[in-house]
Amino acid sequence: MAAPESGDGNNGAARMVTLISSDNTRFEVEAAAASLSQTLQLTILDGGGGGGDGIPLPNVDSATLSKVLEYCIKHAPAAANGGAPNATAVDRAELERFDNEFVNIDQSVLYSLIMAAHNLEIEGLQSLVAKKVADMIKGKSPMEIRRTLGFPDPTPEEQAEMNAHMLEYGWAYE
Amino acid sequence: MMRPSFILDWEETTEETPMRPAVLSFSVVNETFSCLRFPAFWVEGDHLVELDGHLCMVRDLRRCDPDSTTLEIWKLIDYSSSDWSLNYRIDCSGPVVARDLLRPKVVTVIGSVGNCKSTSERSPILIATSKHKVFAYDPISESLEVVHTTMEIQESHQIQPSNVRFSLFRESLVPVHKAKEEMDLSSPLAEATKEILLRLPAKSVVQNCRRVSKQWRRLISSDSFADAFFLHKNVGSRPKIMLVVWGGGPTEFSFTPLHDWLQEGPDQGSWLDTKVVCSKPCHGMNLIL
Repeated sequence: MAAPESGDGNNGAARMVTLISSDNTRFEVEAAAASLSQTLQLTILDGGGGGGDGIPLPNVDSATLSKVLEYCIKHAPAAANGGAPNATAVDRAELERFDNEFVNIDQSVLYSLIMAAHNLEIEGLQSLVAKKVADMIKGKSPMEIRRTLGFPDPTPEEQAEMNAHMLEYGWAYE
Repeated sequence: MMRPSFILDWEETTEETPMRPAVLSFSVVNETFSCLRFPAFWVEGDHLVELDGHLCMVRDLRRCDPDSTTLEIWKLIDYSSSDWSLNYRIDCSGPVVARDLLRPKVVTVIGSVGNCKSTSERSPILIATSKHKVFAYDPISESLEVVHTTMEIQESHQIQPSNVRFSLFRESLVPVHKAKEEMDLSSPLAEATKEILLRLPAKSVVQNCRRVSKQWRRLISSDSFADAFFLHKNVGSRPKIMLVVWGGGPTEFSFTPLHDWLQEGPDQGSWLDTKVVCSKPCHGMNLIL
């Protein structure tokens, strides 16, 4: 399948591509879904990822990639319609419901999702997850933010450094 | 053995003994000079070159025997004892290509190409001549091939036969003029953090997020973050005219958008009766004098 196909999908079955995670798990998805990633889009347009080849993604593990693809598969039809100008209100509500559900996951996954979305340039996903984490830490104290994001408590040195900084620049935080 | 990269070498022809050049070595570690002995005998026009991280001496045996067709490359094995070993003997008497190599007056080994880290396989050695040709010598098959020829476009200029105008250039992906901090700021983790912080209100970022960790503070204080933040909040595209007015207590100023102030009906009490000098916004702060 070396020749790029036209985007009309006029030859029946949708074209599939294979993505390979950092831990060597293979994922087969529709080219349209994977093309939500700006990074992958050109490769796929060039006919890459088809057949037995697969596109290696050395920066994304399988747990994260399966989550990323779950998002892409759901959002691909709307994206194909060019931002869904003719989408019905029901469709939009359904996507919104999906998005809300989608980010209802452990914070550690959220962080790796943002990195993967950044890496693969999936604007919508990056925005969705970053917004979720932002909401989680909004209005929280520095210590609460650390705990929310699962950072280890500051070491005595870090604490001392921070205290010294605040002593000097505390006025800038008013 | 000290690593060669810590040693600077240069050949030196001292004035007292013009016929006997020396290899002077300066150890960057010990900051001491020492002299290296030459291999078995000395040939005029020897030159030094680094091959696979080792200091080597190239000897063109034509210099002492016009009938000779051999280039020798000696490798320095030990700096302290000046032990050299004959690493390659390039015989140029064979095929036409090889004889082509020996015709020019000056022949210089300019280095080796390939992955220097793999010591198991020997990389091809590049040899340039004063006839503007570059040859690659494959140590395994002991074969020579021409890899580059420059037309002698400068024929009109009188080029000294000793001029060999080729040298090796190694490309590197190490960023130039980029501090470690900047690299930290472009790590995937920092990029993810940035995406989150962009979506927070400025107040949250300034008051709380800056105190989360040193890394976060560095990220938030960076110019690139400030730019991205204002871009994201679309602040730059809709400038507001702000008035400095009396606010709250007797010595406090506050900013009021001109539009709001006019709509609410100018309140005489909020007018300033003192002259105020206000700085341009800088990282979200204004200075008032």
